[in-house]
Amino acid sequence: MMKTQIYLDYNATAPLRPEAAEAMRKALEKPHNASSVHAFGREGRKMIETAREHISALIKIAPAQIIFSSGATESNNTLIHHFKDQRVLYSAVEHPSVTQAIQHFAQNHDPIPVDQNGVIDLSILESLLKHQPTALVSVMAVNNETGVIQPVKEAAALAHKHGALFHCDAVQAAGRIPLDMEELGIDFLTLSSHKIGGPQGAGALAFRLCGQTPILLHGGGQEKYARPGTENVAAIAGFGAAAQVISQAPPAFTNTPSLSEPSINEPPPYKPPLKKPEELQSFLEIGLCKINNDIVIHGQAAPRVANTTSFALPGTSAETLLMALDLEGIAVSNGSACSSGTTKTSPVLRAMNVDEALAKATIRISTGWATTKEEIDAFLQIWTKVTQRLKI
Amino acid sequence: MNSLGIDKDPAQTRVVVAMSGGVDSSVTAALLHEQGYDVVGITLQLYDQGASTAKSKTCCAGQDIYDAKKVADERGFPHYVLNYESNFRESVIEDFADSYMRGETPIPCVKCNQSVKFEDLLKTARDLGADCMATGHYIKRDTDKDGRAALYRAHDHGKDQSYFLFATTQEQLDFLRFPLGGWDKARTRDEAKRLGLITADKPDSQDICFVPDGDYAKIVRRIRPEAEKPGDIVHIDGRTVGKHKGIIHYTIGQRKGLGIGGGISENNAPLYVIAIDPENAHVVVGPKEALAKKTILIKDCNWLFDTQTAPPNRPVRVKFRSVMQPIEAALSLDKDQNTAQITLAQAQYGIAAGQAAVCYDEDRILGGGWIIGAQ
Repeated sequence: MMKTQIYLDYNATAPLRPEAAEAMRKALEKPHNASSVHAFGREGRKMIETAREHISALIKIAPAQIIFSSGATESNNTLIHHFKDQRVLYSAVEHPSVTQAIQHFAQNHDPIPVDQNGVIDLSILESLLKHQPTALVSVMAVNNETGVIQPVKEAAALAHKHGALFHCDAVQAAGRIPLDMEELGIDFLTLSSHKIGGPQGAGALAFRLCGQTPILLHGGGQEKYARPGTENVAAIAGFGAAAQVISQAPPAFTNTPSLSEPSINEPPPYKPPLKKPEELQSFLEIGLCKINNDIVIHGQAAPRVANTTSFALPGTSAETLLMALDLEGIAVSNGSACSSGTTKTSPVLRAMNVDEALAKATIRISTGWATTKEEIDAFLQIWTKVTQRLKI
Repeated sequence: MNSLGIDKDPAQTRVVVAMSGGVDSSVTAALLHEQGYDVVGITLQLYDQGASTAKSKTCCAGQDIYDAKKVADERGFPHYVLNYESNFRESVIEDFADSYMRGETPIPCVKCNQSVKFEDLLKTARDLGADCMATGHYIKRDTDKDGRAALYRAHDHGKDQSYFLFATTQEQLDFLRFPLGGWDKARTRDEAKRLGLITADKPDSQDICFVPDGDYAKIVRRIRPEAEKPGDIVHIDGRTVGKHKGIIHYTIGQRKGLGIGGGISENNAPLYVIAIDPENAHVVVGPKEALAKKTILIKDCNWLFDTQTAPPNRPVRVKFRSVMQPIEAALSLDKDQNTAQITLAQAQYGIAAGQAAVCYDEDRILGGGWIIGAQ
């Protein structure tokens, strides 16, 4: 008997989009070393450059200003390494690949506190900038645990006013809110392929200014010497295909029909057009509040992306709920996947001053391009069953 | 009734199996899964293995969790790892250190069963909608004529783990199952081989899990840095006969390693640790005869029989150490049933506070308590 499987953990990784799978299949068909002069190499090069153009269209920056990496962790480390031994400020709710890299590389660093809704305090940012000359300010666009949107444009303007450059980890923002590097004043931007429906193993770092190419690895001449190592052509091609889909249907992940050439052998399974993500989110959140009127939704009063709901049912253990839901075929997360399996309270929720017991009761639901209303409905039914059991 | 005594089809019966990563619990889980039960394996991460072992061994850290997961993956049932480090530290490791500081000889495995496995994990199992929780302990469970679960020594008395499970409450016991209780270890290993489990040839664990190198004093020092207070070794006749490095290094009945020269007692008879006095940091020594005690006093008792009708001086058999055969005694419960006295038929040596005294009626476990003293 096959159990229903409902995937509501897009912020951990999104299912591969059919367009990305198709692009990867093509890339894997032949030996493509994009640095080779021969026809095979040129074909690989074309795939990479096409992908770069799709990503360029997504974040509104010239393709030449984008380098591919193995993922967002590498992109963040590469960028922060560039500011080695300088002063760096970062939001208190950054991903560990930013905070840990800063604590490792930067000579002098301070977190920018957030309010109880998880939004950075711009006045404290300004006083931190005034206090000491700062080289870089790093503020994520959308928080991975809560979905809270940060005032990136305002933070970037403050950074520039005080002579600092501005980095934005936009991993959870791509495809969910518009990302125009020029308009927002982002000097460096990090993207990840697998959060937008591309494959794992590819990411990008984009930079607005010439002469500021950050380099971490040394070796061959790939990516204009900025990122040596044979390119992961298939992953980059899939990344590009996913970026193309989301940049053609911004900013939401409504289920537009497949844009790539239809595959003759395996047509992508038909899915009815989705509800808008905002509708799914309110359907979910209203449903949750109806089932348990003491539900707490983190960051509820702040601007949030429509795909993420981080909530707690007081008095429960997220660890247990996660298992109970998994046994019913529902995949959700407690906080971020990277910190699951440890008892440490989420640093994001701690920065938001969330009570520790409530933090340990916190579940994250994140939806995406293939999520249906029926799945949310099924989740709510199973949630009812699972939480009723706790009260017996 | 299915083989776990539940009136449901095995496929509809959810069993949480506490998997340590050893062969016993691996076989328990794999067999129940083979019988068609809805098995959910759970392994507890109890302590930071990297920190408790020498640095060079950190590559081995997490091996037990890996093994349990591998068994679950290969057999095809879900498995989860729960991080109980903070519960374990508070309920077991700190209690272990404090017990040594009180001059006692603790048994952390009982505390772990009592307050981590059969308390927190059991609650999690109930929250997961489980019908029962199974472990790989060698102990037999049966229901008596009133339908309540009763505990019996394992078929293989050599492997019997009843001593470590005396604190299991009736309510916990009703929910627990021990499918290996009727087996001996050889049978378990044969089944592990038949099922192709990677744990089939894994050696039995010998030590206290969080003291893999046997150096418990090191753990006590780490938890309670003030623990190693030097003091005097005092003879029961009042003479100070030597110095010691801290009471945590001594246990009642110990003979070796006292570091006292000869000529203290007549005939140069060997000296034993008779008592430990934490208040004055004294280790009290004396001849073997001084160790002989006839009455054991226990507290924080747990009883698994009808205590209402228990007469004073109920004949029982008792174990006051894990590695001993039960001996003849009589049990008298105090009014509140929380404390009791056990009168031994013959005086015994080496009854140490902090250990458990567990009472039996033939093979049935009546319960027991923590030793507070002996007379």
